[in-house]
Parts: sequence; structure tokens; C-alpha cells
Amino acid sequence: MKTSRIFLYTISLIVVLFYLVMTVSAPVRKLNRINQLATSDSIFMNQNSAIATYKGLLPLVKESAYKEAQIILAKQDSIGLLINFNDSIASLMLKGVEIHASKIISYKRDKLFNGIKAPAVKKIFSSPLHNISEFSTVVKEPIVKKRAPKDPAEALQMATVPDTIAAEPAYVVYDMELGFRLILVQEKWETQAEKKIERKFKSDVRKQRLNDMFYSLIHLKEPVYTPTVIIVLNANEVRSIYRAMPWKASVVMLL
Amino acid sequence: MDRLNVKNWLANLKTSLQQKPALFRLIKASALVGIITFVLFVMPLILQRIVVSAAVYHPKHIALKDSVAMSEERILLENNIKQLNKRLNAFIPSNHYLIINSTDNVFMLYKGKTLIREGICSTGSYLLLENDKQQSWLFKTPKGEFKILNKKVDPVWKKPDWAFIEEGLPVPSPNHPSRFEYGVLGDYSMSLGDGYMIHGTLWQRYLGLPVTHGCVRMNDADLEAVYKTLSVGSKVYIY
Repeated sequence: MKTSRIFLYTISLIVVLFYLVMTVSAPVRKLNRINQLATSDSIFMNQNSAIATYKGLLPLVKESAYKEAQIILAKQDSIGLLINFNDSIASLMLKGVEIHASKIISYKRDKLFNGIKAPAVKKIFSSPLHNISEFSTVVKEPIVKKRAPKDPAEALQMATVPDTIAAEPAYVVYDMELGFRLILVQEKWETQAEKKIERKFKSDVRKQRLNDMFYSLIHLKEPVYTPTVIIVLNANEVRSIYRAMPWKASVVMLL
Repeated sequence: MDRLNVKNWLANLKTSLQQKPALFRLIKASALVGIITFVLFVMPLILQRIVVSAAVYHPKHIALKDSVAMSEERILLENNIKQLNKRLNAFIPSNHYLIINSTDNVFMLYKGKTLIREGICSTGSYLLLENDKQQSWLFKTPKGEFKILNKKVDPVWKKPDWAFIEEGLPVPSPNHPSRFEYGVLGDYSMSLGDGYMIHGTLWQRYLGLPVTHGCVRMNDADLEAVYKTLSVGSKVYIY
């Protein structure tokens, strides 16, 4: 009995240690996978050997990739989101024209993005990233159904005009390709409804890593790591951006 | 003396807990759960942060003079960026164009990158009108890039079917006189295609609100300025 207990404890300890090592190293594995997207493509590396060699060129590589992605976006028929961290501006572009610009009040960007090397920056960020799924407290199309009246008297009774525009709390999450997450969130939370969403937002951010770990533990899968960018804007700006973007959002970032 | 007091206190605590085995077991279980939670979930989060910081750590860059090869690459990149900027600028219309924000119900009139005029407008209400014949009409302003297809002075509104259905009136024949309303579209109108227009309104107090059937409404002064500035073919961007 004692032997079996020791055996059980030992196995449990090994499993826990293995899980801990895998979890703690998940960001490094993620970063390596991102960098390998470029390094595993030998043709690409041959064409871009200079940027891989000279680290000092990274800022120019980032800017060049940003511009190239904008040109691809300009040729598409849909509205895309541009995020420029250098100038702290989030803007919308349609057919190459900047149609809306919002000042980024603050942002929080996962440190992992600083570890992405120049070839991977060029490979990944020189074309728009798309979302795989999204969550939003903002209704994209606030459709209100109305039954046609039977006669003018009924039409008169049914006539209403909105006094003010309904303003729901603004919290948007885009789960992007390559396992990134982009969050747009409003700056101030004043009403009860907004404070409730603020609690949800903060809880989601705290729980996201825990969810990743818990999910992997339960399903005995390799722990994942989701680098996240949180952008804080004025509430109206978040709503304007979200409602303008199509369901398959295109995002271009200048890191 | 203090250490003795702590020792005595601990001994007393242990004795009292042992006298309450259920409580003792509960405390042990809670402590175990706490330790497991900390080891499995909290500690990895802390360690992950340390690992990420270490993985992306770059020693402070000491600005050395570029090697010749690196200078050449730098010049190539800078020229590439200049070319890309040129290509991007080519997308911006050189003439006047209009941008309409259908969420905030505002418009902006531009020439190149210069803002000429801005103001409030009204766009689609997102009302979905349904009748008992399984027909429906969604009153929303479409998003995208459009062109001014034609311009009219003192436009006459030819009422579509939904305008009658919405009022509970029978739908008349296509060219029946009751289809034609004068003066409701204001002094000017500019067509965007598919029945969507930029026009004026009799209900100026609702400007700034999403109340239209899909068209864009402006006040008289803004409408006149936009009408006189834009030409047929001018671009209109709605989002």
C-alpha cells in the first residue's frame, strides 16, 4: 500500500512538473513558431537574407511591411483597420482612403511581439491579418423589426422616432489568425451597464491565460499561449470601428 | 520568550484542531487546494511573464556606424518605403470626396487630405419592415465606396412600395400620381445608385439620428455646400 502510494505520488509529481514546464515554456514555443514561419521558408529567407542579418533594419522592415499590407488592403473591397502604435492611431481604410482616425488613448501589447524577428515581421505583417472569430457587446446591425400597419390609423399609433442614439458599452474581441487576440475597449465606464461590462472585460483578460492552461490540462493538450493586444479608445470610436468592419475583419498593424 | 510563545500557541492550536477532526480536515483540504491552485495556475503565470521578458530581451543597442552592406540595405528599404508611400497616395482622390459615418451620423467633405467641411447628417434606421405577404425591407445605409451618379435640383421623390406599406396605405400602380412627392427631398439630391441618395429633409430636428430609410439626409446649408462641391463621379465613402 505504501509502495503504491509512493508510486502514485511520484507519477503525479512527474505529470505536474511536465505540465508546468510545458506551460511556462508555451510563450517561447509560440515565439519560435512565429519566427519559424519565415525561417522555414528557404526561398523567402534567401530573398530577405539582409534583413535577417542586420537587426538595426527592424524599424524599417516594420514600416515597409505596414505599407505593403495597406496596399493589399486598398485593393480589397472592404473596410480594414489600421493600428499604428508609433503614432497611437487606429484608423479605418477603404479603397486606400483613410475614412476614420481615432486616437489610441492607451494600449497594452504582449511583450512577445517585441521578440518577433525581422523576417517574420515581413512575412506576417506585410499582408492584412484576418479574424477567426469575434465577440462584441456592440450590436453591428441594430435591426428593429416592425410589422406593417393595416391602415393609416394604426400607422399613426405605431409612429415612433428615437430621441437619442442607444449607446451600448463598447468591448470588442477579435481572435486573429496565428493565435493573436485583439481587444478594443472603451476608456471610461460610468453607467451600471458599462461597469458590468468593464468587470467582464477585466475578468476575461485575467481568465484568458487560465482558460488556456485549464483547457490544455483537461484535454491533455499542449498548453497554448495567446499574445494579446488591448487598445483603449473613446467609446464612440470603438462603436464606429466595430460597426464599420465587415464580419471577416482585416487588420494591419505597425508594431 | 517570543519564540516560546509562538511555539506554545502553535501547540495549542494543533491540540484544539485535533479535538475537532472535521475542521482540521477542512483546513488541510483547503490548504491543499490552495497550494495546488497556486502551483498549477498562479505560478505558471508568473513564470511565463519572466520567461517572455527573458525571451525578448535585447541588450541596449549601441549605435555603431552601419557597415557598408547594411547602409546599402538601409537605403534600399528607405527607397522602398518612399515608393510604397507614393503608391498609397495614388489611392486618395485628388478631387473632392465625401465620407459619411453612419454610426455617429456625421459627414466630412474632403479635398485630398484636407477637410473642407463637416457636419451632422442622418442615415438608415435599421428598421426591418415586414408585411403579411412575407415581404420585408431593411432600412439601412449601405457601406462602401460609391460615386455620385447624378445630381438634381428640386428633386421629386418617387415613392417606392414600402413608403405606402409603412403608412398602412394600399400600394398604387407604378406611375400613379400619388407616387410623386414634391419638396420632401429638399433643394438638391445626389444619387448613389440602387435608390440611395443624399438629399435634404423637412425634419431637420432629427438630423444626427439614424432615422432614414437608407438615404443620407443633410440640412439645407450643408446640402447646398456638398451639392456645389461634388460632381458626378465624385466618390462617397460610407462606413
